[in-house]
Amino acid sequence: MNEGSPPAAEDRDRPERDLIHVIVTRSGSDDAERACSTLLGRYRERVYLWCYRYTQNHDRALDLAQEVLLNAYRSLGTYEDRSRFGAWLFTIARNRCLSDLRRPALLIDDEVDPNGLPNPQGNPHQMLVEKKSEAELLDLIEEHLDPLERRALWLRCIERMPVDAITSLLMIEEASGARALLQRARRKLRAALQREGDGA
Amino acid sequence: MRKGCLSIEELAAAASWAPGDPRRRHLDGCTRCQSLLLCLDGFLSPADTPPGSDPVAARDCLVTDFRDEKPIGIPTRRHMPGTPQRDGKRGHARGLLLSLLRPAWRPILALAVLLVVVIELPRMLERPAERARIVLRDGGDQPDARTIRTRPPFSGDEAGSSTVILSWHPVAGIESYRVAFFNTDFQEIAWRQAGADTVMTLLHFDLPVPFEQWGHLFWQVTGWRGQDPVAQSNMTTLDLPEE
Repeated sequence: MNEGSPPAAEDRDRPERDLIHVIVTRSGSDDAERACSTLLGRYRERVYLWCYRYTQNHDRALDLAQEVLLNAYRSLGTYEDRSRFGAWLFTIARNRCLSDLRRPALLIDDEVDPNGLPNPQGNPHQMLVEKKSEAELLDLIEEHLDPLERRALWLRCIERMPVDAITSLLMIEEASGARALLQRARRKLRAALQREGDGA
Repeated sequence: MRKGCLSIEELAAAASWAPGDPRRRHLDGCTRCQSLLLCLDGFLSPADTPPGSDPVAARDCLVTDFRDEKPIGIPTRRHMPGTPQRDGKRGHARGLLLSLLRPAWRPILALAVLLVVVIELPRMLERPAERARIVLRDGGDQPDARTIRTRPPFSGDEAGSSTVILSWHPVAGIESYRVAFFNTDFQEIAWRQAGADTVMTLLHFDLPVPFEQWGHLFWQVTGWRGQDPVAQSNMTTLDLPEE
């Protein structure tokens, strides 16, 4: 690995648009790979911070961020100019973080009610069911919650984001942060489900 | 995800949409797309630095130049400040080697090499096959304890990325699982740690082989207890079953 070599001097100050042009038009060449390294270098702190929001652990975030950067480099052939480089890299970072968190919730979330959980081992069929329930959850929260509660719940349940990270992302200034918001949203949903159950 | 939901790439261009654009109408009413856009903005322009994080250290540690990267494996992060540089170690080893090659040391060195060859060669010839694979330690009283039963691979889709989900049955006493991937010559091309999980999601860029060719690969799970491999699955194809 070429650990110490900095990006070429002519790349360092080039605008992102130019570097992307080199990546796309000269795919597979040394120039394209160098341009990619330069671009990745500009995003490394953002990738790290994103991973940190999920892991809340400096070393784990560094490991994850390094994997994201390497995956991005290896997937360079799939990058197309139709999207911003940052969005493409975000997709990789998000997938990697979600994949890292795809563990039994009992192990990672102290606030989850164990009685409400599916079998922690999980299986492919169960994952399909979970995917369907994701759409059902969406219908439910859009019907019963206000926009801020919806986003908070989505970030917690689907994006699996820690509560502190949700507080920061939604810029909630109250002392209780997103925690109170999530509790309120869950209460509303439980009541809605109860009503639906009673009506059926 | 619903019909009409937007990809992250589309959402990235949201600022340039015209007021009457149907995508904007969808975004206004869709929690999933709003949340993803929020995440994307949070990634591109972090509003704050979370307590305990150290982006400056990350800038110094994270490697982004992979041009001389070996084809297999995950890179080691750049050295942490204060630890010795790799070049320094290399220089030290080279100096030691050169000092051993001085004339005064040559007879002793030759004798040592000869002894190693005489002692080790017969042992190496006796068990050539063992060296090519992991040797399992005793897995317990049950005869099945050494076999991990895998489930067929399963395909998924995550944020527009193709994924393959691997899973296997847990075996009592295993502390962590490691999944290895092999090419058609049964050479290991990559591996991933699953920890104590019995499910692993592979994204399309997780293996050093184009996604379309994954059907030609094989995978095998090894269960570890401490430093010892104690159970293993059969090597099975990564080919996805037809729907």
